[in-house]
Amino acid sequence: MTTKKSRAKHLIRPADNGIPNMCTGVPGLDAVIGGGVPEFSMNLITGSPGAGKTTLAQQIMFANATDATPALYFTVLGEPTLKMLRYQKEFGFFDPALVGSAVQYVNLSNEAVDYDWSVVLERMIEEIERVHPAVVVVDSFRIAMGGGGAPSAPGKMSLDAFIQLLAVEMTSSEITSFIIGNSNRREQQSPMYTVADAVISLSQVADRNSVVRKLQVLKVRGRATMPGLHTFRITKDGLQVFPRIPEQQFERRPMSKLRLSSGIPGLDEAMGGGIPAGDAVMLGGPAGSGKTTFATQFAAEGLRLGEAVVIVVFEEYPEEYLARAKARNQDISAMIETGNFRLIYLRPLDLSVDETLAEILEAVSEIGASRVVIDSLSGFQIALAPAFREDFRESLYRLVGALTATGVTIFMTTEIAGGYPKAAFTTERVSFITDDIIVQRFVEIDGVLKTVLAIHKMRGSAHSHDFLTYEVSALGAVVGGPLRNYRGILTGVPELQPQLVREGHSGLTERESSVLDTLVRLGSSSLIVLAEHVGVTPKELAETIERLELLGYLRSTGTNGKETLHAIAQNGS
Amino acid sequence: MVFSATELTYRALARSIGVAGAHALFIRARSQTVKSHPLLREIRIDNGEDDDRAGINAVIEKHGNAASAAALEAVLEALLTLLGHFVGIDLVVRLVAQGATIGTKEHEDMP
Repeated sequence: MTTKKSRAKHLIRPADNGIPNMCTGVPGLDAVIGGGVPEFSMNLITGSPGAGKTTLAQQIMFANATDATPALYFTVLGEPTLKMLRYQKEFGFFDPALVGSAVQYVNLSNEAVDYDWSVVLERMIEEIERVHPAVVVVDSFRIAMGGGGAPSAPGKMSLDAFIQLLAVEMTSSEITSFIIGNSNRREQQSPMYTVADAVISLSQVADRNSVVRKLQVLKVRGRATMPGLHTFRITKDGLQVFPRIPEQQFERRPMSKLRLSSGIPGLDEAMGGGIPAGDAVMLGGPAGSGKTTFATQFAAEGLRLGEAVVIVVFEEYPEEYLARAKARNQDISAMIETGNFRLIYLRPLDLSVDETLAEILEAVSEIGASRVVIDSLSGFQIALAPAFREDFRESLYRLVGALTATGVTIFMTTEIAGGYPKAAFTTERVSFITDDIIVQRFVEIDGVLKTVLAIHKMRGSAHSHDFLTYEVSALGAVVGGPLRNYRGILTGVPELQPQLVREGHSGLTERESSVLDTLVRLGSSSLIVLAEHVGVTPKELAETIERLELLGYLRSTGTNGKETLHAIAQNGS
Repeated sequence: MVFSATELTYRALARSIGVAGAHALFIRARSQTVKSHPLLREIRIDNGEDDDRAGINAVIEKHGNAASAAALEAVLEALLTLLGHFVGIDLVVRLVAQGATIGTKEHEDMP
């Protein structure tokens, strides 16, 4: 064996266990494998025809090949080399300048045609000794196994012996090798699966009109891999893997006392001083209720304050989205130039959640965003490949978890479907994922269609429990006062409650009036429940209750801490 | 010179794209040029390792050096053009150069 050339691979890096990793050069793949493939390992890339095996091998090869550490690409009896080169050269990673020196193609079809593996091995060794490669690819293993016929010619070297000797040759020559194979049941029983240090399996599944590609690392010696199926996409730049981030990797960030201004007049007050930084807010409402206006205003406010913002849209082209924002007095398009704003448009119908997450996280990281708008979850769900829609909740849970773990505040919109009076007032399917829920709806009052919103949920935070009116105009959205003295607001056709018509609570502070109104709505309540609705502790509320009782606005029944509070209307009833 | 270039190109392509692929390309290139160079019919397309170098020696003797060289040059040009259609001329040059270097070394090693 000839002495090897010095290795100066820029993609080799040390690993925790002492065996250096060879970076694959495939975005996302190293994270799945556990840092990269072990140097001098024999790796099996397996999968169905068309899954992307050859492209993956070529991408890894071009990422690592240099004049000092060349790569040898052996083609056996599979795809004709000329055809393979014709298509592979279209990928961005394919560098023609490396071909002939750092990357050399060797066709073994003449040697393999008789299934005499000793001849194939002899030629391989001859080329290895000639080129001294750091990386070797054998394409493909299915054919090398004699997939359609006998595994070896009678009286000749057996396939098992060939594989063993090939592995020994590769390792002793300090070569990191990639063997391409198919993944049918017969080949999974091949000794290659035992000999290989790592097995990467690619698959593609057609579901209705979408094709989803997935990658799984079945085995890597001495590495903790990321389990599960990871989606990947093949673009003009080659493969990109979107690691499926396990839920346990999300660490809930500590509660922040910082509040973000929503940019929507009146909303911050209703939310107890603004949106808690790092929260995931979901705004639900029917079509045309102004969800996008609210979301854009939240983004525009961040930009106005000098924060970086990412908006992800699914339902409108970016140009349309920006034009609509401008029409609503929110000209955010100019902010793109500043580098503080990124508008991501995702509309294909075969998206995976992990792919979406990767794109958003990349944008957040690049511009240091503190606000992310996802408009809308309904559009996102439709943009997903059918296979991913089935586990939308779980996927969304991971997406929100991963995003909030970075500290960003997320503002998501979602459409609430259903007609009156059965319309669901909250998107129960995904509401548990969020910290704060705001729900919009249309109500008919005196024959006029009005819009109201309610804050359904704010984790660990005081907030308004009123139905607040709001208006969306050419100047944007503005939240107004509470819609009081009506009952049946949830039906969409509320009725005035005559017994509660009054001019106000004479002599009460605004806080006392608010507490009294809440009690009137509840009818009667314990101190604990009332405090919860008002958004304060029972202790904080006690003094207010005492004063209201003193002024004759409420009375208390029961004793020993089990008192029930009853509102007394102004007419004394 | 042209004779060696033809042999080296054949071997270089046989190494990178396979014997069958190289053979098919040479056959196609010859068929495109044989009308203007009829003497090409007398040349066999193989690795030229026999004493007769695929019939080239006999062709030179019969038609002369200049005519034979011109014919082989035309075949080479057609071959590279054909390959260029498939993978682009930049890649063709590199594929041929890769194998040709090895071929040259082998020739140098020959006694």
